[in-house]
Amino acid sequence: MQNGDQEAVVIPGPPATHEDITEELIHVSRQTGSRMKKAIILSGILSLFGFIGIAMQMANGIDDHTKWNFYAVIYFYIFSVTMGIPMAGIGLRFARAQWRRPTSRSAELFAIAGPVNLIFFIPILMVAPPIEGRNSLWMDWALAPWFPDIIMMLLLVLTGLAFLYVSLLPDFAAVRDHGSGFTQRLASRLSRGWSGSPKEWSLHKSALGILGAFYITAYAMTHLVLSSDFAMTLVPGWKDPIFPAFHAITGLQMGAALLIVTMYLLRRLGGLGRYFELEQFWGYSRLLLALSLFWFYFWWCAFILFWYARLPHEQGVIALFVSGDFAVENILARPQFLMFAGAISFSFILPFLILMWNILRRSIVWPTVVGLIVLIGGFFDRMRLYANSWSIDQVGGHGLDHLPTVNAPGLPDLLVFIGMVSSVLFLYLLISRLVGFVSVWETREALLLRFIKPWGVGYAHVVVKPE
Amino acid sequence: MQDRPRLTQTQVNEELLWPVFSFKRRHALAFIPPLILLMGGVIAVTILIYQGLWVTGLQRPAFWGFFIVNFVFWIGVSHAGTMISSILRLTQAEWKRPITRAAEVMTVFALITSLLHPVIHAGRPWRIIYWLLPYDFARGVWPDVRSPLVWDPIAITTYLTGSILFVFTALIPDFALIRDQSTGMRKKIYSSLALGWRGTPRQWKLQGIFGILMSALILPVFVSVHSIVSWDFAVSVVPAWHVTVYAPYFVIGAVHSGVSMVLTLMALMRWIFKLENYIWEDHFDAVGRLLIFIATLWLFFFFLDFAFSFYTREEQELAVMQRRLFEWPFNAITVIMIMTSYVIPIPLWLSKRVRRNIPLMFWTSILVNIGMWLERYFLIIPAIERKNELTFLWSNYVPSLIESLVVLASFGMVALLLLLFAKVVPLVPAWEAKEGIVFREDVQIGEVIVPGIIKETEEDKAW
Repeated sequence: MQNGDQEAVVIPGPPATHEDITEELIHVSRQTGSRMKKAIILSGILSLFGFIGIAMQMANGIDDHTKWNFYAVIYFYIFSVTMGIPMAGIGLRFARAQWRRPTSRSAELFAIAGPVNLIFFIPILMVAPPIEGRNSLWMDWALAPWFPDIIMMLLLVLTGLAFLYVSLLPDFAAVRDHGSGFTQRLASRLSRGWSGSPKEWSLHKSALGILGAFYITAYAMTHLVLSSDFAMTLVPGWKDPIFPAFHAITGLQMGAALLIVTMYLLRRLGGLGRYFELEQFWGYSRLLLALSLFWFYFWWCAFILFWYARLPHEQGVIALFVSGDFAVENILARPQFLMFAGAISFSFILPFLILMWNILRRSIVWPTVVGLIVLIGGFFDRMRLYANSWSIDQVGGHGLDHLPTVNAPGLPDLLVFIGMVSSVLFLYLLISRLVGFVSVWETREALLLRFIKPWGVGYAHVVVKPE
Repeated sequence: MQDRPRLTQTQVNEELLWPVFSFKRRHALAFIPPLILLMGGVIAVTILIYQGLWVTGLQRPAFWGFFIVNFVFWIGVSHAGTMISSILRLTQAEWKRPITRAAEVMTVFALITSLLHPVIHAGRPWRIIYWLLPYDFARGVWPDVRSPLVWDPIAITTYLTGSILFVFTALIPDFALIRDQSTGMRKKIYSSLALGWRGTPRQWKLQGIFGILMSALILPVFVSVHSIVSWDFAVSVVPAWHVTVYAPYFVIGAVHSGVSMVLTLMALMRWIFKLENYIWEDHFDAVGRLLIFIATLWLFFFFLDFAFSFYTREEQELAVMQRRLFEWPFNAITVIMIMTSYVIPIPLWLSKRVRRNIPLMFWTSILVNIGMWLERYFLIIPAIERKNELTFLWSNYVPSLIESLVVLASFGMVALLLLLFAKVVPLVPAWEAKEGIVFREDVQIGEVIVPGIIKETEEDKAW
């Protein structure tokens, strides 16, 4: 089945037999060429920059959280993106969307970013101001917010890793049976004697279901506690129950965006074009369109209330996150407005204007472009939320007395950004050398569950529904 | 879906069209309960209009009571149609086929029923006209377009118009089917309704395109309707109402109650109209799984609303929570609401055996709707009872018999309209049933035969 993409390289059709899949996914795609080796080494070295950045930032002091505003921006941006991608895979698995099968592994592998998020979370815990004197969910509980936040982060990270491991089990067995060398020995240990019996498959399916449900719950609750403890509580007068849901859904949007970009790169650079076809890009572009609409809807739900009621403390929140200081006549001179304009343009307006056209949705390039746009918009959004809220030094009070001056990012922040991104990339590429970017067992299952048959004067897809 | 009989077209026509052409005893008896409820409501409304609003329990400051709670409830139920027919159409869920029409029609009737409530609630319904039309009837006072109370009728009538169009277009092939099987006056009426439908490939293609376009267009309306209804409460500065999460909370609650109502309807349709060949255990299983997801999302939003009530520790908001959680009757209402909306049904629905047990699904869906009605009561009434800062201005709303009769009558009205509708067209779309049979493909994998579905290839999709 040919895609409609205009490329110089001819992408062959999907694998027709189980042997093709084994050959391609276990032998060919796991080969580590020179380009891959360089990428792994480079990302490994650049990961260290993150720790250098943290050290430089700590040398500036940890008592003044306003100096760490951009560290918070970077941390919550990368946290939102990387923990949102597995959600996209898990959600579509629950929805039994068969087209997502080739992409599941690429999505689930991002759970490996969990430990990175956990390590870089430590400075946030150290630097964030205590909740005494501020509104919070924890009612002056002595251990809050650190204890519940650590517990939620650990739960999310461990659930993600557990889900990834369970999902990988059959593929570890496949590498054990068909691979060679060190990876074959490692996979043999990790496969825990998997033999593919009906009982094992049944337990496997149940485990994925349970762990998936746990991940979704942990994802929502972690976003709830982190967004309220590290953003909402810092802004006097900001009470916004929809904000945790907004935070979670925008994370999912950014995760879907990064997954599309990843699929494109794997298609172009990884030689996996027969797995990441038009159908996958079309499916994720529809998801991205829906999530972009949700971005606007959740933002609007909060904005209309604050705008309509005209309560003074909520007008302060609008000024902080949307309009900037009204005393500044030139709207383009208001940094808060510029951040908001960037966020809404790149997270909602442009994605909507592009993806509303089916001809653009049903392509490979345009969803990728929109994915990049959404990733930029997500950064603007996290900047809008965290750079502003972390710049406030006022403790408590009914509302904001004045808009804070936002400290600009410095070299330590840049190093932390490079370090965090490289750490995630390093781990992602490393684990892909063991199990590949496409799931062997899911692809084999897809061969059983989907096929084309002659029908009438043409052909039809038949999708088997064993449930 | 294994071992399902392959029905012939004649069989489908006979089994689905019999309520249109005949009036069997079970169908006739089904009219009695809703008729009784509706008569009670008509008498109650007559008394209310004649005597005035003092016959209700409304008093300062609780000027919104049962009528508004019921209004919000029926707007919520109306969301089921769009959920089942539009969203499931766009996601190409095959199992929606037998239930789309009933869900869409329930949407229309639920919207009509809900629209009656503000009219009754006004006490002098004829004065509503002054407020609805954009004209300065008296002393140069225009309707306030900045009020969500004006956005409401705009959104609801848009949704009603869209839903009617949606229902009607999907009815055309079945109107034509009845036309072809009728004689005399019935044939003339259905010929007019069928709009010349002949079942040509082009007509089917246009019908499919319209269905998809309408599904996509009605989605923003679907979200906006209940969001705007929620903003009736949320944009005010009443403590415990002024909550940003109300819009998605109301929408997801609407879907929860609406889809549960569809479950109830499926079970009743199957029993009254003998639709065992069309509404299977698989459909209850699929709806049950959908409801687990929706209910969990509802619980998340409920939790957000609940948790953030304590966030600022404002006295007025704490007073409302005190009333909701610790004072009679709201303490009992809260417990019943949580138990019936989530704690009892969801754990049961996690079991496939329960999901495929039709009587259990019927009773649990009724529990959900009891819980979701109480949820609206829980959200609306305590906040308005405690909306003033000065405690001597607080009141305790007690609904009267008149209001209770009107609420019960609303259920009777929707049921009656559905039963009357079933006399006019089949509740299960005949053309969808036949299309489902054509698109069904049994596939042998190893020793097992499993059901499959034929889907159009990308090249077939011209849009």
